Amino acid sequence: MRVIVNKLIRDFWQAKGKLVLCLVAACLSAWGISTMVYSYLMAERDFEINFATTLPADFEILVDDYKPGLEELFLNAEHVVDLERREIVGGRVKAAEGHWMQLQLFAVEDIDNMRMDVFKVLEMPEQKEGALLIEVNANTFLDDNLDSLEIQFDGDKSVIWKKSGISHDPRLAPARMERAVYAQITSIKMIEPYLKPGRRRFLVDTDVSMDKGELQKVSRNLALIAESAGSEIVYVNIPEPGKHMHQNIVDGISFLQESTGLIISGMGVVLLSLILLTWILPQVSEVGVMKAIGASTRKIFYGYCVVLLMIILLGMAIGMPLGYQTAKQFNGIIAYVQNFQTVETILPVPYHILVVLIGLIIPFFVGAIPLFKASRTTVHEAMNKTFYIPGKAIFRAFQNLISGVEKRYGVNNLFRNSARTALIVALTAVGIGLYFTGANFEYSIHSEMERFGEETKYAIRMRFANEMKIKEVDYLNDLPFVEQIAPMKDVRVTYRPPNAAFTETRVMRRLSPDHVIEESFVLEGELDANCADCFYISGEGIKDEFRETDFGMEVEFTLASGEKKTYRYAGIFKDMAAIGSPFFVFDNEPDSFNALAFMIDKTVPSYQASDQIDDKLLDNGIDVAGTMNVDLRLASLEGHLEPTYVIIKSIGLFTILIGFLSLLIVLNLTIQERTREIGVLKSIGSSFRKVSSLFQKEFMLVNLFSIALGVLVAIPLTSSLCRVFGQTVIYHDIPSSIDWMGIGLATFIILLIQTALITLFNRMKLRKNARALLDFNF
Amino acid sequence: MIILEQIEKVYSSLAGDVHALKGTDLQIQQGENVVIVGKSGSGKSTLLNVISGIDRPTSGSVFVFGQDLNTLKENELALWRGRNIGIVFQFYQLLSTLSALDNVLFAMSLVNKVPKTERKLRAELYLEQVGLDAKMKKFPSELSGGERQRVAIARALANDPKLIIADEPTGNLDSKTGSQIDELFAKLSEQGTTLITVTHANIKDKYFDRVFNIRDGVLSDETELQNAMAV
Repeated sequence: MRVIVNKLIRDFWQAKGKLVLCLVAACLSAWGISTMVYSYLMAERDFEINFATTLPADFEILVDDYKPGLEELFLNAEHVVDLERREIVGGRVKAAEGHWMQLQLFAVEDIDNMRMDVFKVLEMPEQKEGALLIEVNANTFLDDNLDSLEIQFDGDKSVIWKKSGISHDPRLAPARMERAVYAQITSIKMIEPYLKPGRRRFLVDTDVSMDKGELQKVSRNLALIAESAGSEIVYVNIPEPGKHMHQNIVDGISFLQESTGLIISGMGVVLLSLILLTWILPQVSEVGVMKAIGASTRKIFYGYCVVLLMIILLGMAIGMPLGYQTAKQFNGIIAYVQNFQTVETILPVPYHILVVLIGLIIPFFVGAIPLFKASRTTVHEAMNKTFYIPGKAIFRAFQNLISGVEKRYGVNNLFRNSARTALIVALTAVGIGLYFTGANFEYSIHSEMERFGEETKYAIRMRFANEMKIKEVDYLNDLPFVEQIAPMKDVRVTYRPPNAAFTETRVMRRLSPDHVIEESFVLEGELDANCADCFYISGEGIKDEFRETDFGMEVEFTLASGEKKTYRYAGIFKDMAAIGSPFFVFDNEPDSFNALAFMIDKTVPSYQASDQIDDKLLDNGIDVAGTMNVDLRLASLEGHLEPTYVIIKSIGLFTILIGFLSLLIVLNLTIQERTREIGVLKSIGSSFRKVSSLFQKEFMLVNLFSIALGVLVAIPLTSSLCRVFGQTVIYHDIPSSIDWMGIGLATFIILLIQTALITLFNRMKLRKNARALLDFNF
Repeated sequence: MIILEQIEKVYSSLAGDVHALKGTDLQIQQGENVVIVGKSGSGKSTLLNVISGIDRPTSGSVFVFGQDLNTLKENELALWRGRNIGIVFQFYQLLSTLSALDNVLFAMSLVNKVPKTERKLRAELYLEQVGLDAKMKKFPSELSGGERQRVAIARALANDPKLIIADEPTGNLDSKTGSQIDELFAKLSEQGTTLITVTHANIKDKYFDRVFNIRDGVLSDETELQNAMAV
């Protein structure tokens, strides 16, 4: 066998171009496989190091009418292991550009004794007590040169606090994505004045693991204990055990990341197989010769396998480190979405061995297929090479369908090796399909945002700490861009979703009957602003709670004041700018409010208008508790969705690129296979240009078919993505739109590049092969 | 008229230069049926390559029907060849993905000499002439060796060439099929087509206007010798 191996290595060495291409394919394959496996392993490791070490609390509770000694009672409750007070207060902070930004401030009782939801302190001043630690990723929003920050808590006068350190809490959403500032403060006393009197927030640790149902029972028990002590648990938040708050997006990106690896490795393996074919083709007759002089099929096959193994190993030497780096980059995106800090430690050796094994096995088995086929060639077959004619039925059907002998020649040639044609079509179609999916997804998001921006009547919403009368802000009507001001009232309501065991506490936004909601924003049910006892869900975030509820069914809500009101479930509408208030009703008295919606002149950017309204209110002694404007909201949504479509488009482009490469390899293979045929064509009167145009047409046909297939694949894929990401991020399906103009342009560019590449390649190859005519033995 | 003047053809290889044709002179009149006989490696393929313009001589001139082939560029030469010369290869060299009829049509389509509207009719006519009217829709893989060769002849006739070059046209055929092909060529010759056949086989039972022998790149006219042997 050694003799055969030596011969094959020499053959390969002589065909240097193919050797390089084979190595490229082996690298791609190793790159893809290692990207896929390393990404998975790194994500697991990073999750463990970043998230699990924060010791996430099992759930959090909000207690009203807190009575001293309640902690002891809770700690004595069944399954409760630990309890820690942690407070949150919302407000605003002046960012570097002078705009107000949303602020969420977390207060910890004892920074040196955090037992749950542990965050990292990256910079801490000597004076630990009362230190304000800014979340590392939010720090970019703030002016580096300033030591202190202007902060305003819900409706209060602003205060100046010293910015004293940096922290990092991986359980929080990434600040840059949310467009909000997060911070920790090491003293609850500092924020006590801004908290609701008698309210306490506790984190609870239990001995129940990974079971949301059991945790609900524990929380229910605590609710009873609180009630017996004269307090009330008004809010319970039980996160999915062991899951990050952005798990849905992360799962989506992880899926893309693993798909990328799969596609790259698939492409690499297909490429390797194709290149091996081009290498083997001229050797088929030599296989016959080797057999004729005594070599067995097994010996020849083993010989080829040794060479294949060497190629794969060489490919891995380059592809694996590349894959490791790619996985790191991918992981960086995931870490960004999860607000993780990437871990720099190298993966343990067994992990690398796993990657090597997977990287060896897959390409080896796929690459061995053409080698096995070639090795099995009989002496007779090898000496009498004939072209394969595919199944008669399909083949003949095409003869009658296609007019023009040149077109028939092109189509029929695609049948010469239908498996190879199918591979190329699949590869290109996947690339084009993915690219179009990403592009359509981006287009759908932007269309929906644009639609929302254009159609939404109220571009600015503002919250206030206290209830006011509309007369008190009459002066806002003097602002030139303000067209209408709609009073609203946000109230915290507790209700029990139909068929649910526990109550939920959420915000209900009470609107006046003259509040305008666009008809196109109604997703389900009918909008009737004159129905005072109808309630609507904004977005589909909590649709699940009402999935078995028919429209018209009554649900009782307990308002923060204790008043109980029954509303009828009337519909669902979308409002991308409504965050945190999932219920809407139309029973607000028209003259009082604790929130305002502003209809403004569309030519004025909403963030500018928002700042001016804010200033005007401040001038009149009214502090705004929170602001949301369409521009800010859309920027935040874009931040959430952008990584997804950028990744999909990049994978698509990369696949198209590999598709181009494969196409050229197949073209090379075709030219090689048909050298004599080209000779015949030339000898019966075909010029170089004509031969080139025949090949061009043949491959154009493949491209057009791939593009058509890609577009067809992209349509349902876009629709699924719009549904999944719409429901996860903006709480309603994003209508799937097809960017026909973009597709047309991209198709044109793809065809143009491919045509140029094929022409160039033909020019190189066919011109060289003009000499092939000389090989004819007259 | 085909005129070759002082044709030299030298191939360079690692083993050194190979002198394939050595000062070859040749004149063939319009309508002549000529055979070139020679052993393998004698230079007969090179000679055919030079006559058909597939290969250019190292030195010397080639005039075919008044056209100096040296003055034509590669693409012009291909088109000129398609319009004026029909080539019948030893191993048929049919396009395996096209039917017999399409093989003939394809040759017409490449050169654009025959008007589009007449092509199908003429292709069918040529195939009828070679006795393949019942097998026009068959693919090469579905035809016997003799049938393939006849398709190749029909293809060579496709553009109504003034010259047909046949490379061992009966070399791979049984004697019966070989005779059929010979008859076909004889008929073509009678119709005024110039025929150049290359063979290394025995030609004593066949009629040719002129017989050339090529040995080590040197061409000699052996018509008289052949005639004498025939007598």
